[in-house]
Amino acid sequence: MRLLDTILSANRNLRRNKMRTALTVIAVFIGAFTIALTAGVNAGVNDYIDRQLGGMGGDGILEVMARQESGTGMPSGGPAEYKPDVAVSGDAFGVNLTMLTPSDIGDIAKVKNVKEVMPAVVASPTFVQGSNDKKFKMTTSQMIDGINIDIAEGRAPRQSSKDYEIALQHGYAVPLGFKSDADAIGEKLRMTATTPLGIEKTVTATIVGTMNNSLMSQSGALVSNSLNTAIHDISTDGVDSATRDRFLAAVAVLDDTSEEAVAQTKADINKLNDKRYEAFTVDDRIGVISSVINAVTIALIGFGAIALIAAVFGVANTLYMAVQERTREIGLMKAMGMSSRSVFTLFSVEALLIGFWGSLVGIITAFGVGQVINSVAEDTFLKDLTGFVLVQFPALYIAVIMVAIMTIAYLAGTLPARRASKQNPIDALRYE
Amino acid sequence: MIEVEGLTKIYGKKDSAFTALEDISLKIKKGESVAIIGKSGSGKSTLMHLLALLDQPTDGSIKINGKDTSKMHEAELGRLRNQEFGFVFQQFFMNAHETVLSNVALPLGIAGVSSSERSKQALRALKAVGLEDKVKSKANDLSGGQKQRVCIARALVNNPSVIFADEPTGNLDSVTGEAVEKLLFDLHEKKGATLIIVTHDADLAKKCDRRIRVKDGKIVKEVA
Repeated sequence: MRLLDTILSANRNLRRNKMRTALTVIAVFIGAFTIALTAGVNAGVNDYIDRQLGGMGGDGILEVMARQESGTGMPSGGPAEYKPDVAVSGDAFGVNLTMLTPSDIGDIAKVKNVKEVMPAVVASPTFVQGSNDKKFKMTTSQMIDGINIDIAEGRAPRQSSKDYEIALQHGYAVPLGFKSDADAIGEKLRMTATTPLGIEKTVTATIVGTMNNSLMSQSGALVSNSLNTAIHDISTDGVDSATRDRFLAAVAVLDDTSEEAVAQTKADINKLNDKRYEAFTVDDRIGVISSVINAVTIALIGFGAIALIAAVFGVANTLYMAVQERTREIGLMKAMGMSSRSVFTLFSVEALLIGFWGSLVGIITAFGVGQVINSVAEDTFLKDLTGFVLVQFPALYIAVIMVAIMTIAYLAGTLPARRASKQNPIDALRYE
Repeated sequence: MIEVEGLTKIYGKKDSAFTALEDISLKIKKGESVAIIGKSGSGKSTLMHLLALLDQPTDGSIKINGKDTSKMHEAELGRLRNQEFGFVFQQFFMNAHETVLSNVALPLGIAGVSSSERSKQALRALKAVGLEDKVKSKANDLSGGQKQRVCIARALVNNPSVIFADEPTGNLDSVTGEAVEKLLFDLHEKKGATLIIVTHDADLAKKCDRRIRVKDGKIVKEVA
């Protein structure tokens, strides 16, 4: 029998019992829908995280922090001993945070493969003013070359630029008096900081770009090192260096960015000075978020899989009924010379078709529901996260889901199809 | 040409063994019409099933056109049945939900003939039985006589060399039965196909060239 004829014949047989076929397809559909929608959300979230963080040039960069001593709680090893050479700052919610000192930075810089260590200098202006002179609050962070920024207009500031360069988050340009994000590029931004003695001093920066809002971004703008230093100098004017030069974190830029070299350098830094430091790659940071999302995804796909397992019994049952109903027809076809293999194929194709329709309708429905979720999300809880498409359906996901479900349906159909193929024509024709 | 040598069929094993056919030998020439007659339980149906290669004998051999079938695989036997045999059954055995045309075309579909060629040949077969106006009807909507004529068309569609008819008029009233018989014999003569009819209808048997009477698994009388 020709393959096309087999498929058409299987399709006709399925239509013969529309209600039974529909119910079985619905069982497959539920599993396919759950899995497709879950996979779609997973794809959307991971795509967004990749774009926000994965591109952070993570390969050659380590974030280094001082290892925090457990000095406030009741640690198993008893209270920590006071060490005068360890810098502690007491300003974070009353918790003693161990900070990095310039000598720590110097030590880290000496580690093999470390090109440069940049202390994270936290400096934010008191207020900023654009073309309409209104005063706005803004937090800023330092630009680090090699980190990918989700740029909307213009470009990212350069880390080592001598000019005072700044890139604004989407949403700042218009209140500051510019017509649009694009309109702000090349314009001036006056940034005012306050000295410890209460004197306001202003520097003028050039807006070089705007950025898409990010789930992870904590600041309103990215600034070049020179600008950051200028603001920091104003806000710490007259403070002695022992108090001023305390850093919560530093960024180590590496020469060799291969995976092994980064891992080795990370281990080296962690061992340094009696294990006083902790280094993180960008992957370490993303890994936590991704693994949570993947765990949720696996759990939801698990529910879909359970639905599919139930559907497998439905498919097998439907086909057993069909084989029983059509016993005499099978006998007739075998008497007329149909081979056992063709009979097996005929019923297997029916199972495959059930899987096909179930997964197709499931994926199409998931796609439709995904579009609705996306448009609702865009206007509500993801309003501030530009570029975040919550549910996505990459072609590969769809293909894998369809092939997997059709395979499962085929396997469910093999037992009944085998029974059909084993029929003896005379016994089958006599069957009442 | 069908040659049968020492054909034996035993159902079951050891104590419960039942000999349905015992050491049967016969020859059926090409183009001949043969009636296999006997009471129910005599073994006549078993003989036909073995001749039609639907069942395997316990012992003995069947040669079709000189080829020994005992060494053939299931797929080869299937191909032989598909190409050389036509079947007409007492209970018709039609796919009630499908059209008359696709019912007639069934053996061609199994053979892998293309869809357009199937329609052409099935239409020709339906014309031969005078049912070309029922092409698009559902098999279920036909009368008994029409159904059996469709089955004869189905048996003829692949131009078989042998037609097996198992009680072809058993489910029909005498008038319709006679019409079907006439059709069967007309086509048998026109096409030159061998006709093997299993029946207990003496009138029908009389119309055949030869009658083989089976009793208790043995041929008791051959009437030329």
